[in-house]
Amino acid sequence: MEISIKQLEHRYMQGTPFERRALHDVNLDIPHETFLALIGHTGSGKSTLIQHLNGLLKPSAGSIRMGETILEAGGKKQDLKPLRKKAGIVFQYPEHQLFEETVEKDIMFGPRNFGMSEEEAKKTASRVIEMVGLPQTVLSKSPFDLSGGQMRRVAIAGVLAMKPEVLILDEPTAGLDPAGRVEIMELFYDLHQKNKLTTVLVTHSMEDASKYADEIAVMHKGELYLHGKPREIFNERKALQEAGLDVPETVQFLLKWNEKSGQHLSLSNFTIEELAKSLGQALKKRGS
Amino acid sequence: MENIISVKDVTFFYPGEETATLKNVSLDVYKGEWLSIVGHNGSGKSTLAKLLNGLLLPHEGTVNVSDYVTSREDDIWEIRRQVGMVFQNPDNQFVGTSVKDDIAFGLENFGVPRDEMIKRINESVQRVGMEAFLDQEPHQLSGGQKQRVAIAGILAQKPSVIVLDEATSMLDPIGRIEVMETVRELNQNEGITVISITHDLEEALSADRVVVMKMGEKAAEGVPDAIFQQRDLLKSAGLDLPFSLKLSEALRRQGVELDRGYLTQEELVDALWKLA
Repeated sequence: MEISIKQLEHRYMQGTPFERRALHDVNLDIPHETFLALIGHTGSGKSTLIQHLNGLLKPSAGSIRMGETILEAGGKKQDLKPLRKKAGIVFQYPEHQLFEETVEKDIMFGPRNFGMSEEEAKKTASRVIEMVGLPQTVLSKSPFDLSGGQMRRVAIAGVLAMKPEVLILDEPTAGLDPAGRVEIMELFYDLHQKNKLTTVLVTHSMEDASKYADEIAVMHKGELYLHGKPREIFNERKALQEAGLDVPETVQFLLKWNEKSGQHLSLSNFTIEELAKSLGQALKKRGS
Repeated sequence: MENIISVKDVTFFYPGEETATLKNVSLDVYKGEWLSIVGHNGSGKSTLAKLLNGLLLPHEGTVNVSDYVTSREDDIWEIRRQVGMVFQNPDNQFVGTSVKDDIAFGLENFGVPRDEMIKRINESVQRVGMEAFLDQEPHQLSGGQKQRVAIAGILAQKPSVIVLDEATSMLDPIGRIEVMETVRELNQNEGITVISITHDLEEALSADRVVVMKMGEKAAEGVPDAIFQQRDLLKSAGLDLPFSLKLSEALRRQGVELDRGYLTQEELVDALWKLA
């Protein structure tokens, strides 16, 4: 699904003495099947932005087009169910939202709410539990008897059960150990590719942004501050630092090396392997 | 070295659980050190933290804080004054309606007189660099600032140990740096012992010692240099290798003849420079 955001403005508590402008003049097109990383300092507006993508917040000015649905300031009240079915949000610490007696019921809750039959919802639960790498036996357990990592997978399964076309992920790996973090990110990346999703990932990890994203959007003080391919964004270290961010570790290392050696190496991607290759070649050249 | 906390043969079960969350764990914490505890989710590290100031009590074994024992009811208040905890979620530990009130809350619980209270509040906000925010309400603060207020609340009790239970994991990079620098100053300048439960390997690298927890047991203990060279141990404990070590390995695969794995970027840049 293509997402098109035009001159979006959002004011919290509009018309009260507490009014605060959280977003201003945001223009962003996210083409179908794009994996977009949304980065920015706390309070930069990224959470406000993604809450517009399934109609949890309404624009104070401007508009958002999500496929067929248009959300605009002052627009008529519309049925947001179709949009919410297509745009699934995995919130921060999604395991805090589990509530049913069994994992199966918890996963079935969304689909049942959207009119799926009991039988079909059960089938869906059994399908998605496998997608998130948990055994079928988990379905009959209480979600609260699972480990933190398992609970998070169940919560994610609940979102996948809606078969979303757009996946909005708000720091989905916060609080997980390093191995769990890699597993969950690989799971989303795999889904993104296989199901041809449009994915928006909110993250503080420049490593994840550089590894998975086709495009990066940087928010700063409620505005879209930078937008481009990872290699374009990570060329802007000064600008990133002004926004309270930094480049990935591989780039930090390369800059340290360039400073020491007087060389001007650059990277075509930001993996450790690429960095090692580029340093290895540079050393050989000097040696010969 | 002098012990400030001794954990001896501790086993702990959560109610209704059949397997122990902690199995026969022993651990000494030295006065003034920075100890990082790392491990996979569910390895028992947060449970261990809660045993250190008697929020949880062991089923077997003992936890001593200087001359006090967590299982002795008369000791528990003194232990909680000495061992302050900062938890993960900044929004769950702010109890007051302003920074001032929040710090006062803890002191009231200990019956500190008003004049003394005001003095301690002013001192402790200065030590975490929050003196400009005394009358601010919690919702006006960033996550990093809230955690610093939580630390000020602990400092006002004149503690000897601060336990950080993933205290920076919900913060953005700037908030993380803010909090870590605050704690580092307290550790280095005032000799406060720091126990940091963390997934952040770069943070663990700068600790004096590291404990690795795995499936409820202590899998290893030692200085970062020794711990982080054990890649199999780290992998099996659900942990990653620090960046500079991974890069050292990748460079070797490219035929760069490094004599060993390096732990920090600076050391590795220097080692490469000498090869060139």
